[in-house]
Amino acid sequence: MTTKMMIRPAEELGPVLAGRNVAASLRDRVEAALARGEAVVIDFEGVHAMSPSFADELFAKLSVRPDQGGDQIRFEHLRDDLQALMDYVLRGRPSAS
Amino acid sequence: MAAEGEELLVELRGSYDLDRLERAIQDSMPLLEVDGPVRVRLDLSRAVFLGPTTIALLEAGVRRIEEAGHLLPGGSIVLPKNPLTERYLHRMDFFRGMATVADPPEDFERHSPVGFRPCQQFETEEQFPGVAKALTDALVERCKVDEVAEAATLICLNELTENVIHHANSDLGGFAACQTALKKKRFEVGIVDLGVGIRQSLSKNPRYADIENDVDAIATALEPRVTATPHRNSGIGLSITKLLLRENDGQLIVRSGTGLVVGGDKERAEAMPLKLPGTIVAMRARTDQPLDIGKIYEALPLDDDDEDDD
Repeated sequence: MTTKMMIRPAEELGPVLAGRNVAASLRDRVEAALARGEAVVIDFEGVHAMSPSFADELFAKLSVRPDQGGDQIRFEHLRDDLQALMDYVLRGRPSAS
Repeated sequence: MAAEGEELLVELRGSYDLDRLERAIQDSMPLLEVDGPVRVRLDLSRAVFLGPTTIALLEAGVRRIEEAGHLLPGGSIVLPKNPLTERYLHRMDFFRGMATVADPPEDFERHSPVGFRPCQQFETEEQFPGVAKALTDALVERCKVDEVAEAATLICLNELTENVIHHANSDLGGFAACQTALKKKRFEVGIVDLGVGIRQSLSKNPRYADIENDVDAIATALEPRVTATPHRNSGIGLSITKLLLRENDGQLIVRSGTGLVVGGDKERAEAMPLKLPGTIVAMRARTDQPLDIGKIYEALPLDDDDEDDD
């Protein structure tokens, strides 16, 4: 049975997610869990807004493409506007850097 | 420009709000061009109002001279004749920012700032988020805006201050101040750096190395997915801020080198006679109109092919 890591950014960082470095730290935790073979769920419940830099750093620089991640990574309660932002930053980086 | 060791007179007269940014640059230029030891004499006797962007510009100019070791002791400040102007400048901590020139005493009881924030210098990745938050708090505490506008403001100010740290290439970092104007229903933030300017910064990316003038460089930087450092940055923040302020009937004013580009309400682009050593980004938002960044995200194009890559 695959271990699952649950991350709730609103509980850790508040309702507005901003800052490239903050997102990079979060992404590092995700990458570490994925490297251990764990599945990752990021629950965006309570997140009201997100900066483009944060979204780019978290979503578009992941080694696993969030839009092609299969069971490895899943996002929950991502609002429509934040989903649109995620899609936009992913199109800016066709492959992870 | 003053000769070495001479007194450098900086004289401010009248009102320096954001609509008079060019005059603020012109009258601050002696500070920005100093390249040798000077005693600064700042004459504010006929000053009526200094907006937050002008205050940030002047503080950046003084800090630059100080950091370069050019600021000689024995400087002076001639206070405004209008006591209200003097008190306002005290509240904005303008004289503390000028303390290395001269430090006039305060003759009133100081309270915590409400609806404004004095000029703050930020030099590191660790500092800019706190500055963005403080500026946003000033908007919220005075104008009672909703959570949506608060979040949008915080996001934009994070992006704009982060841009200084990532792109200005200035040892001094950036300088930012803000003020709300309750009656005019406006909120103004000025962010100043005396770094390399947008054109030179963009030229690090071969795709933008051949931009011929500062106006084109600023206009290009305001387009989505334009960045000097595509491996690190996405080049979205500035364009999103422009779109947000356009929806708000506000303005994003970018002045760098000889370029001026105003986005949002009353858009224009113009080559200016004076070359600013660095970049000013000022945002002026209406507090009686929505500031909803989620709406901007949902309207982002689905199939733009203007993608930057490494």
